Amino acid sequence: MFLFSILIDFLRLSPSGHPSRDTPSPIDPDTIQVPVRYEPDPADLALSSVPGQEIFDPRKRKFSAEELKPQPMIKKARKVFIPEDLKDDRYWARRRKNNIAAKRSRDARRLKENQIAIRAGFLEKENAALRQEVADLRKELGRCKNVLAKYEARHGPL
Amino acid sequence: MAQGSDNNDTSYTKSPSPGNKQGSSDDVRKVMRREKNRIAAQKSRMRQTQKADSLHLESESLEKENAALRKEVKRLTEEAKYLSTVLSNHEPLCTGLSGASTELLYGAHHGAFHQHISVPHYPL
Repeated sequence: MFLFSILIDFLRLSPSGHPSRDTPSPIDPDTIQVPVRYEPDPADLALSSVPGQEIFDPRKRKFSAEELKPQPMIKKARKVFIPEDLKDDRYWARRRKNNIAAKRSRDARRLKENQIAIRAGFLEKENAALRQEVADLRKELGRCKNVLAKYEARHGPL
Repeated sequence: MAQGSDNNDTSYTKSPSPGNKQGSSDDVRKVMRREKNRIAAQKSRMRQTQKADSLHLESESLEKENAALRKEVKRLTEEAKYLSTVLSNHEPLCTGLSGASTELLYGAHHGAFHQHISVPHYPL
């Protein structure tokens, strides 16, 4: 890490080759900070993408708290029996319209659930990588501060 | 809209009975099957809803954890930046360098600081 190599140079000791990290240090925590390898099942991806649009990308698509609310309990209308003679063209036209709408609604819901599932899988991996990053950073900072403390004990504060 | 025909509203299914005399046992069987299927469908819908709700809860918790971890990473890297600034500012003024100072690093932890700090990188 850059901090440690500065510390070593500073104390004029031979640097050991530390691999410098590629990730930039952004101010904005939302910029992608840790490289994560995530390969969802292509079948799952297909089920989560609309053919007319871009393939679903779990890295970019966040689901807001609003979208993640528990399923609203839609009150279903009671089935009213309708005698055959009342089932005119208008009736069937309306039935057909409703059936199409219902199918559209089911498909949309299924798609959304699949997307949420893939995003959740991705987040698990990303969180594991982030946790590792935090552990590494803490370890490194701890070492440096320890050395600095020893220096300061001898030579007073910087 | 009236509440749940999901519940015990089976009145719709009681359509006019067939004309023949053997009708009733068939009817009974039909009714029984319809009822079984109704219950199975209800169970299935319930399971689907519960699965979705649980997924949503987990999702929300993962997003929160993710945000908190990113915040922590930001905090730690900024602290590291700060320390390196302090060091670079101090370097031109430093008076503490002597042979004894190398003991700081090599003393009790001989060789330890030559270890690689390897930060695992997952290819994208």
